Amino acid sequence: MKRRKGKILLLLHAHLPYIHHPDFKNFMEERWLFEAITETYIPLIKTFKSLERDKIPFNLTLSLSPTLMEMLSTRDLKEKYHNHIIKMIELIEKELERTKKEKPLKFQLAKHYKKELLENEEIFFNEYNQDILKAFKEFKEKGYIEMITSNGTHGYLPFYREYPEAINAQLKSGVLTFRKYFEDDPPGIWFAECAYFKGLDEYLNEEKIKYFFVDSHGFWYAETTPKYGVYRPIVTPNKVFVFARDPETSEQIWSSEVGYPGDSRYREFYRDIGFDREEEYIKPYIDESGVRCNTGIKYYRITDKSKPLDKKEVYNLNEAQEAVLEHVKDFLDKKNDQIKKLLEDIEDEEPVIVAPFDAELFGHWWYEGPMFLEQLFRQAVEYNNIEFSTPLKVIEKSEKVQITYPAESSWGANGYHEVWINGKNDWIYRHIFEITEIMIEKAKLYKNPSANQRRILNQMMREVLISQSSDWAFILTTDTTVKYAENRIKWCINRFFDLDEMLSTNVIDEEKISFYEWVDGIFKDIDYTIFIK
Amino acid sequence: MKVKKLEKELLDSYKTEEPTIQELRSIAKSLGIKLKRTLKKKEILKLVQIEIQKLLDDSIKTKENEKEKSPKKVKIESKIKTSLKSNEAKEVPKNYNKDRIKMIPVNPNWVYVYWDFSKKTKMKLNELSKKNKLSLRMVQILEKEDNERTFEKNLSQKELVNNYFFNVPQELSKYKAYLGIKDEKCGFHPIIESNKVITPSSSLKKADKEEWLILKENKILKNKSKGSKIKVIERLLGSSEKSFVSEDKLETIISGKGLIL
Repeated sequence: MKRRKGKILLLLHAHLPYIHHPDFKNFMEERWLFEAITETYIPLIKTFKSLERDKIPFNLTLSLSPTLMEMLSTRDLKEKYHNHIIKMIELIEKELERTKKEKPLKFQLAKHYKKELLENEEIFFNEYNQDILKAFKEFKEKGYIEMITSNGTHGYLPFYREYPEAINAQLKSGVLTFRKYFEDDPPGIWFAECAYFKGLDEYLNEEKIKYFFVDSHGFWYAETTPKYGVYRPIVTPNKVFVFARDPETSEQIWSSEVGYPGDSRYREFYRDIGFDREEEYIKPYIDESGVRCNTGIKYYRITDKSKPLDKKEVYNLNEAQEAVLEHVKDFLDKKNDQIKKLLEDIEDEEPVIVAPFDAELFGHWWYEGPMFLEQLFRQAVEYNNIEFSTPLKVIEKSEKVQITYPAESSWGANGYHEVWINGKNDWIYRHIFEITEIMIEKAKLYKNPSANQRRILNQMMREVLISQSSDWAFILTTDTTVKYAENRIKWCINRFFDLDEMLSTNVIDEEKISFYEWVDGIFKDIDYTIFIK
Repeated sequence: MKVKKLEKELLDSYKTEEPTIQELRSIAKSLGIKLKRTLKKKEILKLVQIEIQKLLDDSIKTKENEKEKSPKKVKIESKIKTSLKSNEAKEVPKNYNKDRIKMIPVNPNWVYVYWDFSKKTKMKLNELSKKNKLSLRMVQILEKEDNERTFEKNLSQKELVNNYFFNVPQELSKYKAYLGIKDEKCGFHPIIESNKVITPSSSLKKADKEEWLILKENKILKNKSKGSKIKVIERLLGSSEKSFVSEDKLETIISGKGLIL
């Protein structure tokens, strides 16, 4: 018999909610996208390129949410990103001058950041002509990464179980958007927030999606406890494969207490020159309103989690690199031990360790994350028991698979739905459900709409889908940019009702429709009929 | 952009005629040039000429850039002139004038309920006597015992449009909610009925049999279950904790069974 190995399925889920304010030259929340491009998406591409160049085998799964795919392809946002990165280069030039007079380590860092920003600019503008998706498509086609989709606007699907048409619309928009950018069917899906309820798998057959993921307790509390726990996939009676997150691997990386990203040598996320430098100096590089925000230029290390920000010590890139090497070795040693044990427990098949993460953890939140990934693949070649793989490859190699339904679950705190429905955000659902219901009614009612009616219905669909994004509820729970999340819901609800009024009265306000199409212009090629199941 | 703000006639008159010093000062002001009181007409004229030349150059550059952009981009920019703004805040409706109660499971031990009444029902409810109370009733549907367990919360008239987090006794159990009137004899008269929900599972399930799909043959094999071979199962914390609900919305209706996982 062929030697069995342990398979590690690394999955990075990249997602940002649809935020687009083309009527503003700068809009604070649009910076989330720019930060993610600079700090995560381009560094990931650089990691892939470096591994490919050195012929290091690597395999991982990358899920891109349709909202993110759409934003990365929006001309206005691309141009704004262009301005943003030019501004950042301008800032780092000034920082080079300033840090010459400060500590040598800071000056070195400024030089390092300048090099990174120039490389980013080169990759984004010259190499890929502002098309990040093209880069990912290339690596997908070369077989390094398995790309999957997510549901349309990242709606929290268990809340829509009473509205099959809404779930259908979320899934269809996810699949169609993936096909648009990757000219292929998505083999798998990452449900927003990894949230699953019994019955959701039924919808996937129609979209020919072969697999999805759940959190660990989705397997532990499954209808029949899986024989091999989370270390082999299961299949639902509807013949969709399911993979479950390995808690041990998650904890090693995610945990704020014991996880690698909390090491004292790593860069401190919350100390940024956007908050440190004097107002006049930093003003051109933060929000126009003068509200301070992150610039991505950070000179301090975590030092000690209990220390206040002003007591942090200067970041040392060499020490951080050493930490990465140590952590990668520690990670792989632990995986090796875990796999040895699993090989004893699992008789015929190969153990599978599923490690899903938010892509933005790597680079944005954890600056050294992309370096960790690169070293992970580089060092893994030394381990005979370990192989990085993808869900499709595991499915293709499987001989038998246990049939059961996973339990309802999510990957949020406490494992169920309370992050997305609690005393801070519950008010939003009566409004979102109301417009969802109206949308379903209208989609069924207007079978042969006029050109104007179709346009209105399509825009109503966009407003409903955007309002359903799990992000708004999440932001309300976590108390970050609460006002924006509240307003985002309110804009969608009000825009929807304005449009519905036009549909009902046949009094068309062309300017308003155009405006809504412009600002909430997601899924331009998809029409409202996705709301007819 | 400054060129757009300037009055075209003013610029034109400057080009064709010799302006007075007052006109020149006015033009300079429109152009945003700060003038010292001591400046002479010729000096002001020179400053104005320089500024206008700069603006004309910028204007030519902008036009050239616009030519390079796609028609779509130009079309989008023209929309900026609209009176609408993408960040204009407007409140959402307070209610939707419908008789409705909806329920969402939150975790194995909590469900969320929200409701709304139509104007007609609200008027009727407002006419209720003090002895009749508006009440939210939660029913646990116990299929095996062919029975139902009910839990109630009395509501004040202020809660005609509201919501509530109900602590429920059992994971993986079916629930339904009703809003109705409780009369003076404690009889419950339902007005609206919610959807049914099932709370999520939070415990290991024992099964006698396992089903396996043999992939190549597409055949199903049934085995006697020996349970999971993987022993390590971590406890999920907190799904019965109350911290996720703000205090004003929290009231434990029942206690004991089901509160601790």
